[in-house]
Amino acid sequence: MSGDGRLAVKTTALTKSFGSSRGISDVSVEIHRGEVFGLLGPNGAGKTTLLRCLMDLIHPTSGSAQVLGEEVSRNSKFIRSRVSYLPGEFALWPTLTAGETLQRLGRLRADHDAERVAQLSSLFNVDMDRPLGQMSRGNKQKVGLVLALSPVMDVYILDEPTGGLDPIMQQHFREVVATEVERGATILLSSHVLHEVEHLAERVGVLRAGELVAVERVDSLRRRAALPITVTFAGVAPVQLLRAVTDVEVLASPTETTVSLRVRGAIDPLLKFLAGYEVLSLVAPEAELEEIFLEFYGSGDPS
Amino acid sequence: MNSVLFFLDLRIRRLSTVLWLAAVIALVLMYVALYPSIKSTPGVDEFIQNLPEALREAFAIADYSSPTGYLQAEIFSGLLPVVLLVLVIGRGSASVAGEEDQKRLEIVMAQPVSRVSLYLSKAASLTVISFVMVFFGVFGSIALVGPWVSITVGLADLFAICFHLFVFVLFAGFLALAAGAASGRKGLGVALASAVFALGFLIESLGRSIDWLGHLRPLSPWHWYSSSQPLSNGIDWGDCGVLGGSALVVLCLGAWLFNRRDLRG
Repeated sequence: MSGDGRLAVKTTALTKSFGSSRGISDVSVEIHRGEVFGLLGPNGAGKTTLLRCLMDLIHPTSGSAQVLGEEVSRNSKFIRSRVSYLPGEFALWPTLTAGETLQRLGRLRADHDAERVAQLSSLFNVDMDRPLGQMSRGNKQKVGLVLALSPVMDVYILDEPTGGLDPIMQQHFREVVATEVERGATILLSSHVLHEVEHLAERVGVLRAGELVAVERVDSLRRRAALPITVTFAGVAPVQLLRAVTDVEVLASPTETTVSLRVRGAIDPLLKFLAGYEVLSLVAPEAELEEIFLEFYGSGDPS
Repeated sequence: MNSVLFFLDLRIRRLSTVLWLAAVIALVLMYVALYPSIKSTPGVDEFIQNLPEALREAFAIADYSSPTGYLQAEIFSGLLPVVLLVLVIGRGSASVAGEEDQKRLEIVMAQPVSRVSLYLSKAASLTVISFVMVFFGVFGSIALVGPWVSITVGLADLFAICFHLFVFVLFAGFLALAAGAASGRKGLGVALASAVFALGFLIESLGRSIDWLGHLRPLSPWHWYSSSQPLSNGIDWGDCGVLGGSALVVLCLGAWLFNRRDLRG
């Protein structure tokens, strides 16, 4: 029985248990063709386990996984010929140069295009003559990205692709991905930080302790996120009055003039309120994904 | 079997293969060069004849005054097979399990190649390396340099013992490869193959004089390697068949287990 060809990825009650607590349980998700899907979750939540199941590197305990309408357990070589995968943690041969590595591994694919490898290598500023053993983590990651992004594939599965990259390279990465998406490719990428995927992904799935706790559009996840803000007033902080402002929760007031808040929902009422005071500084660090998780999915122990 | 992976494996082991080959040639030449001095030492034969029978049998010490006896006893029963075993067992366990330990396997297995194909490419590379060591390193050195120091043996006889040595080390290499690939643990590949060949050596050498151990000699790979005296009697196809067949059986078993299990991330 062939699956739904319009879906890039479909898992049904996919479960992988290891001896320890790691693994995933009962993950059902559908990713459409042409979509950019972000897989989010703290380290150890099961992101890598899920992706490795899709690539047939590990075999699920129960449930099923389909990629491009084909059952992974039955047709993984075909899937790997249509899907490019970048492992979250990988190493290459320390004595080979980046150029030789890319050339040799590239030849494992029928449609190896040396020109595209050269293009991407120069975009990511990869030193082709340098042995991998002499490269920093970030530079090795760039070699991995060139390897994963150079074949023209239907699906790209990228596990923490921008880990160790500087912001300029992250920007280049987003550009390459955007081009592939325009062409109609599907991208599934994982991250433990929201801002790495929020500019790219339309939807995100949130994994927590091996369970897919939510699949949402990025903008709605963002909207639901509580924004932490620290305000420093010129005078005494009006803590009592702040408590009454809509959507604002006062967390602490470490000094007389400073107060830290959390805003969930609209920020406008808080800004209107603050306009009536002399404010020395207002700091709003980007909400960490971790906080959003704790906020929405409970901070209780994962069991 | 995938030619890209086959050549990649040879490429990443190029330097160490060259160094090993040099070491094997140096070892063989050293033994060869010592032959004239040992042969001309007065009383060596007498000394050997006076050794206890059991000791002579255990260490396969034969007639040192003939080239055949010397080659059999010193080169093909001594350090050389052990050195080659160390090489192929290390290589065999490194080629799949070692790559996995180093986290280099996953990026290769993300490409459109089957696991069995990767595994067979590694086995092919191991075969080539074993072949080079035995036929270039050992056969070639003795055939070329031996006559200078009056080690004159028939090339066919020399080839026979080298062929036995080749299937013997191939079995060790495949055993290490298979055990490593099946378990994902390089240490297990090394340990299992080393244990089989170390125990086998004890059984074969002591079994010549201890009766009850003698019954176990067919369990030892060393028995099939040299007990037919291939340097004097030519290739024993039955013995080579046992070694080659065992190599193929463990290779297939390893492939089957490797294909079923989870890769370690």
